[in-house]
Amino acid sequence: MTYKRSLTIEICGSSGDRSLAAGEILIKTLSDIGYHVISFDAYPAEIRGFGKTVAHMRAGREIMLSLSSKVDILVSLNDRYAIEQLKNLNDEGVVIFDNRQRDITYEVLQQDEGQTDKHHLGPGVYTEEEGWKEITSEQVSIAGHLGPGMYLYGVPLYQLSQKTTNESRSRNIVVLGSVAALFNIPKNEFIGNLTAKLGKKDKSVDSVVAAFEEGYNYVRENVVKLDPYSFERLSVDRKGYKLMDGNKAVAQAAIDAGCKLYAGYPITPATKIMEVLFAELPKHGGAVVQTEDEISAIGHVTGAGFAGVRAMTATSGPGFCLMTEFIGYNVMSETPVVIVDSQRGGPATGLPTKTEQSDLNHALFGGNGDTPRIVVAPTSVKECYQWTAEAFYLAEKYQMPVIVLIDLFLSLSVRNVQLDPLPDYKKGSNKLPSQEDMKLYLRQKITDDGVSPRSLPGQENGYQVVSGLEQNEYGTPVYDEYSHTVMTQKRFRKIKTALDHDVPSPERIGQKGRVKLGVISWGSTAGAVADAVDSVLKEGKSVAMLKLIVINPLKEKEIQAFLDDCEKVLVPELNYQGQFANWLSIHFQQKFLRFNKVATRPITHDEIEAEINRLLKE
Amino acid sequence: MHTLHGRALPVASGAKLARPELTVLALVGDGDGLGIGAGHLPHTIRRNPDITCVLFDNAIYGLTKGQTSPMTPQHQITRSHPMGNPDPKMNPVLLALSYGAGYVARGFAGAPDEMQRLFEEGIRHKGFSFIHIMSPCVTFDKVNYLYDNLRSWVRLLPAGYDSTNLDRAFEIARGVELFTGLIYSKPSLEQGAR
Repeated sequence: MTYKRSLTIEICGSSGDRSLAAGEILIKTLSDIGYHVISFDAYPAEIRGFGKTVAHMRAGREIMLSLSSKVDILVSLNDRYAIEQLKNLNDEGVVIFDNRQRDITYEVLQQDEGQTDKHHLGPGVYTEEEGWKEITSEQVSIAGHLGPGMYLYGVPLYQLSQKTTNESRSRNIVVLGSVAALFNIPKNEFIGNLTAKLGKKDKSVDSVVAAFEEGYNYVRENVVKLDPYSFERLSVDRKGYKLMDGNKAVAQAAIDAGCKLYAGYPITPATKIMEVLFAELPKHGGAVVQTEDEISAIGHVTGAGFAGVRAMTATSGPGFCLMTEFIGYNVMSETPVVIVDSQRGGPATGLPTKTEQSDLNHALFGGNGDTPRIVVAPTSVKECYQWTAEAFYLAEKYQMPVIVLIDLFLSLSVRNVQLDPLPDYKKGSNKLPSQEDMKLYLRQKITDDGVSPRSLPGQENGYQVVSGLEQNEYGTPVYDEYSHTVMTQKRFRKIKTALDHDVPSPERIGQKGRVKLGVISWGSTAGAVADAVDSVLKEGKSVAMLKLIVINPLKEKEIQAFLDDCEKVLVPELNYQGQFANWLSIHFQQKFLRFNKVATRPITHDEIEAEINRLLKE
Repeated sequence: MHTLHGRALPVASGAKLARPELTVLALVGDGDGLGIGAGHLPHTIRRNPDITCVLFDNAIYGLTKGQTSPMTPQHQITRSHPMGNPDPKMNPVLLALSYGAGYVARGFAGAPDEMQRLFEEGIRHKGFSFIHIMSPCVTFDKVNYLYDNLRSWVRLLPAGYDSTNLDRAFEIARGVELFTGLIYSKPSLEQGAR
């Protein structure tokens, strides 16, 4: 790749143009030839009807943890929608479009009481509200909308698709051929991935490959390349890398960490975790159950945790709210559970298909009473794997709920990652009673580290009663000042023990020693900060970042040391209140500069970079 | 494990799924089992885990000192309804049958031998078993579930009653008379627990 650190590509069409399938093949190919990739597709929010669908990906030589605001290469399968995307195109961006658009006859399926009729109509657009509307050829072609520095390449996508496959729906494949030719992407890898993806479904693989070749050859024979972008093969080995999104990483971590029960209720964007586990967990001796609601889901997980088995549920904000009573119950009954919350826009049903980081308050404080819990927030897909696995270890070891906060962006963003295998000692962390303990078994025994040895149901002499009531060491309900005080202290002591033994120091990135600006970040936004800091450091700026994955408990000493090094401290996050900045303000005497957005999309690295530069100039 | 109010069934199901070798019972009352946690009943029955649910019905909220429960008869005066309970009570046996439970029985706290037999059978039953126990609250219910009242109301199932006949079971469940004993048991071949 030349000219730029990374390139952002969009394939834009209406649903039915299969632009996402094309995006999937492209991202796989770029990954195979050595590039780091990160994708984040945009779907129409409505299930029914036509809507804009955009496969969005960023590829580069170095690892990337965030998206760019601007697009470098825009591939149009539907010009009307692609015209809207032009506002994001770089001044020197590339557009690939169908230069014979006006010949197209669109096929529109109209469904009327179960009957499907095909209506052949001219160029136009269909919306739920207005129905079919014809539009003029000028409106329909993207060619008339480009800025002066942009590069435009026309390929007769429709004609070539018809010629090879007798249908217009292979335009997505034709255009992949053209993309391969234009940007020097090795053809064989592409065709391999193409047949692997379509092979199972499509009987006419040959004709699809022919469509790809037509798109490729057309560009080679007819198009003069003017733009500077290319994706030649890199000489790096990506063998151990896998393409996966955060949901897949969470599910894989559950399997590898020995989770034996998953219970969940469908909710965007966490549903795929359940879908993956339904297919995979039974193969590893685990059970998966789709429950009637999220209360039942966390109830199942609690029962399994009590029985001594690693168990997990995953949800999003509204479902997480329903689970709240059980968070307190798991704290009080000292039952290990892992809860994954993939945050989406809120409050209430909110914005089910949009990303946000606004459940932090709930994760930290949700529930009645003094309820210590561990909260971790992975910042990348790789960390989704690592920290979900870690959550099982921590929950079991400290007998308490561990909340893994991810978000829609991490859940759905596909990246090529190399997963580090889980160390064996983390696969079983129950503190079991010794023979001495069994002489007179005390379920809630007061200990120095706060953790009581736990007998499991069926263990001889290990009879226990646990409940949501305050209790003494025997587990008998008690309501006196002494018991409530020592037991509350014991529950909080576990958090302190976890902090001392199992919470790593937060990672500091960037300039060492004193800096003009420090950035503290969490969750997926930390990815954008890491990319931005990397970029401004190359310009020699005095900046460092601190990446916090464990949100509770906080490594206060290490964080304070970082704060002491910074003239100013910025906390960017994807919520309105600055929930993380507020959380830090409870712990540190420091003025935190905030950068809050409720953008319905991830914060990009260039937005952070602009804010860093603005603050450095102040 | 004393779970959250109303959530015994999901927790019991989770424990059973996690450790199938354990014998698991879910003991609930009319307040949590038919009130706050009633939504879990049909789905637990549907999933048919091999657990036994015993519903101890005292027709009142006793722990909070005598408010109307889902089993309090219509018009009965309680602490929360000094003018009388406006709503009719529920029918747990009919509910369990309607949702398709494979083992449905009713017992009375004044007849412990029968209760013991029903518990044993319920635990042995492969799949979800549901046992409704009428159990007086001697402190806060002075009019309805008194031992004397219940003794005069309950009936033993008629001689030769076929507990595998679902239609007969529905008749018994719908009737005004309070029959105790094994009301319905799915023939063993169809039990299909998991």
